[in-house]
Amino acid sequence: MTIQTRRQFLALGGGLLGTAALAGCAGLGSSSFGQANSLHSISPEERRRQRFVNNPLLTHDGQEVRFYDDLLKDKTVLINFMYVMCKNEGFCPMMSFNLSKVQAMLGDRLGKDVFMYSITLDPENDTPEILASYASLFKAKPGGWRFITGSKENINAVRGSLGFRWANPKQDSNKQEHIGILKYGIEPLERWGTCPALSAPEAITAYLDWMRPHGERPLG
Amino acid sequence: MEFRVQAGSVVDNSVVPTAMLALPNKKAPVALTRSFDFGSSNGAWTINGELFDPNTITDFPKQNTAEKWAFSSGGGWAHPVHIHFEEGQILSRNGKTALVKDDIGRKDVYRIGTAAIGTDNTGKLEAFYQWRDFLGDYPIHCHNVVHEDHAMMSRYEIVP
Repeated sequence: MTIQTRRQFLALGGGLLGTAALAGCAGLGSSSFGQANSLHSISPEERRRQRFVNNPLLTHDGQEVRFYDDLLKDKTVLINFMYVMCKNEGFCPMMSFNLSKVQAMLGDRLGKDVFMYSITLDPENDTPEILASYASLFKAKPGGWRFITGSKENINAVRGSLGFRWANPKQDSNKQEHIGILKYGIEPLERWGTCPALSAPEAITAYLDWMRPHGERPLG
Repeated sequence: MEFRVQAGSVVDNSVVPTAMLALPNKKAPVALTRSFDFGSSNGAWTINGELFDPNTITDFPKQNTAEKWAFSSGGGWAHPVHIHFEEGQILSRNGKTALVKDDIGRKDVYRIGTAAIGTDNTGKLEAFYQWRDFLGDYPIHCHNVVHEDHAMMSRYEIVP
């Protein structure tokens, strides 16, 4: 039980980064740390569910989904944030292009047990229709790599629960400075990690493999 | 190998030296100056604007030469820069060659950016390096491991 508790504690900060970690901890503080005392009394299923929000969202292929129940639960996932009208020197298209190479490397696993989600930061403009044409631009595999939109409030709640947030509200509201990180995890194992979404595709798939119970790490 | 402790006594001729070996002459001529800028990009961390790519080696210092390595940062964050394998000596901090006590001696970590007392707000630090006995490739990274993991790291290789 001690190990479980320690692991849970580490997991609260483990997948977050820099100022986002501080923001995440500050934002989640009342709920996450408040739950620390009750860790012994909740089931693993409940603990997993409490880690993320479960807000309703929309996929580019027109489905209404719940963030935890439909997109995360029992899945291996890779999640990033983007928006179609990105003006930051092509940062979002570069990320999406890089992820299209990750998609190719995941092969048959994508859509079976591994799922990719690119969530928009600009839900007012990025309708499912707009995202669908963006998805086809990057040849997103149907059912494997989905682009996600929803209400501004729901998107922000999801973004906050993933830790993709700057501590400084002014910086946080500037889409051009948005966090260009890919969060990946094996939800049923409660293993989560992050890396830059522009990391080499071979590196991204290797990092994901390292989290699998029998994933191989390079020697030397 | 194993040690077997036996009974009896022996004469111990070892002597603690009165002075340590002199440090290498850091004023020796350098073959090359390399620059490493520690920055950030959309929540990720970079060296010379690049994210770590495990399959790329960026610098190839030559064995039996000396080099000047310059580390810079725009500030805001502390970056304890860790150079694996070889130790260096600080030549200057923010252009000043008069160093605080902590900065004297052999170093494998250099605090730049917003760091500790006496070393705060370091925009640029220069260090003297010699590439001596061994070849091979080694990492350079920020020892704030969150920065390191998000991908403030690069590789260099000492070549013949």
